[in-house]
Amino acid sequence: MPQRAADGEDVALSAINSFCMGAAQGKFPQLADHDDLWRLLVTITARKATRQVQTARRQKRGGGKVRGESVLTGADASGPGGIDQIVGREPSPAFAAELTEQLQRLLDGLGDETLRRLAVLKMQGYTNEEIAVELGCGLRSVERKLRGIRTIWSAEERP
Amino acid sequence: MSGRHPDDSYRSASLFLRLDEICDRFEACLQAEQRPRIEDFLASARESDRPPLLRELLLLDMEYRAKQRDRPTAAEYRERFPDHAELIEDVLGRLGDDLSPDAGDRAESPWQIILEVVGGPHTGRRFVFTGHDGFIVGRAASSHFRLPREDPYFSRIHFVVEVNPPHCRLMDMNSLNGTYVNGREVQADDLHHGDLVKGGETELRVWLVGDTPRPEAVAAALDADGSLPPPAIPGFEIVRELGRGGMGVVYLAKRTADGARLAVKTILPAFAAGQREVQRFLRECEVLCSLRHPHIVAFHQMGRTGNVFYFAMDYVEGTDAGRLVQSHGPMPVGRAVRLACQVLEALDFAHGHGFVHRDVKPANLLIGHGQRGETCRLADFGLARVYHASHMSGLTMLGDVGGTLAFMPPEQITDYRNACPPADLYSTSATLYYLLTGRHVYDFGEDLSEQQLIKILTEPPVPIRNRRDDVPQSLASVIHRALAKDPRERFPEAAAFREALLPFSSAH
Repeated sequence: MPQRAADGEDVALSAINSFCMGAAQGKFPQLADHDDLWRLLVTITARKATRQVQTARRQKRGGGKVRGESVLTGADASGPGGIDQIVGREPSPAFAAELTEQLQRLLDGLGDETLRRLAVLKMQGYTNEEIAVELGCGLRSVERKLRGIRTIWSAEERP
Repeated sequence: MSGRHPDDSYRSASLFLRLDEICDRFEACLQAEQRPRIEDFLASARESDRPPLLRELLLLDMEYRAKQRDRPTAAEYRERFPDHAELIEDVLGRLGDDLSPDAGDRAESPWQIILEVVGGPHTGRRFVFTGHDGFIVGRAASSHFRLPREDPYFSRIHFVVEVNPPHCRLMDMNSLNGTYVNGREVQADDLHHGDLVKGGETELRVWLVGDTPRPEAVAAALDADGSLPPPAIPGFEIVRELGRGGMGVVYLAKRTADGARLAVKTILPAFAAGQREVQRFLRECEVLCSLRHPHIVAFHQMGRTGNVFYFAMDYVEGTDAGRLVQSHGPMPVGRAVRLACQVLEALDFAHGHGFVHRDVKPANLLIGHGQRGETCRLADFGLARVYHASHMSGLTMLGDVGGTLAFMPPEQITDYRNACPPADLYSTSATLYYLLTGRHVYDFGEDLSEQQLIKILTEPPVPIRNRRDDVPQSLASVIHRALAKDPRERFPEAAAFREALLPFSSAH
């Protein structure tokens, strides 16, 4: 089991790194599951980027914060494109950076250390049973907290 | 991650955080084995949070209770949270398939008795009974609910509860400080839903849960002279009554098809049963028909007519060992040992085929005469086990059962549901003891059944040589080994017991 998260940013980064490597090797079947935290993260990230692109277009001005449109081509939150684009191939470094930043923000937003650890463990591919052992709680609590994390993150997703 | 549901998130993040905090506290109490009550935690939440909170608490409660082999049912929760029946149905319904393997068993049982500790150091503990069982409460090691070092007012064996849902009976075991039901001191009492049992500082609440109406007690239709008229059994013509036992009446009957003379045992169940339970009972009995051995009375046919179950079996012309001792006094050593050896032959065979008799006693040793002299055949093989496992028997251990406890091993009280071969060895030895002395293993005298139970559970048997001094010391050792309270200290199997007895079979 991984070390307790001392530094949120490192954790987010390593989670993203392992995710990106795994995605390149086609190892993330849970992306097919609409409740998976990764899917949620990708969706949130993609939506945010889309909004930024739209904003940038409206402003007809790039602005330092906007990454190239090509990074997220087709990554529309309403369709499967955002996910499909990263399954089975390595996401671009720019997209990885975007994911990391977003995940960092979402983890911070959880506010509770147990929830943060749970989210990271889940995203690293541990099963609910393994997480229950790691956190010293029952399976029902893992499930409850996961539902809670999804609730909190879904609220973030809304503009 | 399959099986997710669309409502699988919370209305709002703040709702989740409120619920999660309460659930964490509830789980911490569960982990500390403090037996927290859902009701208390529910009360600590705001009104509108209660339904989603109950959902979470139920899931946690079931998860932790399952670890203790305690399987709550929808019925129990409905009883406790009558306003949330739909939610309970929903939560338990979704779990349906991944419940335990016990789920099937439970479905067979229309009622459950739950004893919940509501006062004293073990508050929150719950004991769930779905079938016929014994439950000992006290400080003794053999107790099921081992109380409380912390409760000094509890006796070693304080009281015993016999359960066969929906029936439940409590018997105080001569406890020092008494047992109280709803504030009234009792010796023995039938327990009902909602009763509060108190011993020392410990209080137990009785819950009866079940969707089915209580079974009707079966009333026998008596003749003018107070006796039961023989039932009309299809395919048989009753010749005369042969005898009466704890479970029913035995008749000599002629089978109309071929004129064969058979003994027909009838059981009028104490309580009526549903079609499903009757079928299950008869199915289990039919398995007994396959048991064939020269020293076992074979079952041929069984069924139900009206309220009465009947079992047609070999007719053994002669008497039984109990009557023999009553009319002629204790038997010579060799004769008694020879009968016991024949019983053990039968048991060895049956145990090898997975059958346990569970009711070996002098009255079940039918004595006839064969070509090689006196022969003994063991009657009612397994019938008691099957009958008592059903709800139809009602309560059999506590109450007015008279002498039937005399040959019962202690584990039949402490581990009611598991009848094992060593129980038969104990009962065979107690039977041999009786054949040799005309007395029981303990001085029961006029004892009430609770005193008999205490003696069986806690006192050493009376040395057989105190009762009859011409029993050789070495034979006495064999008999007492088979009477050990701990089944593991008895002979490992019937054959070994028989072998140890054989040297005494040629005595006069």
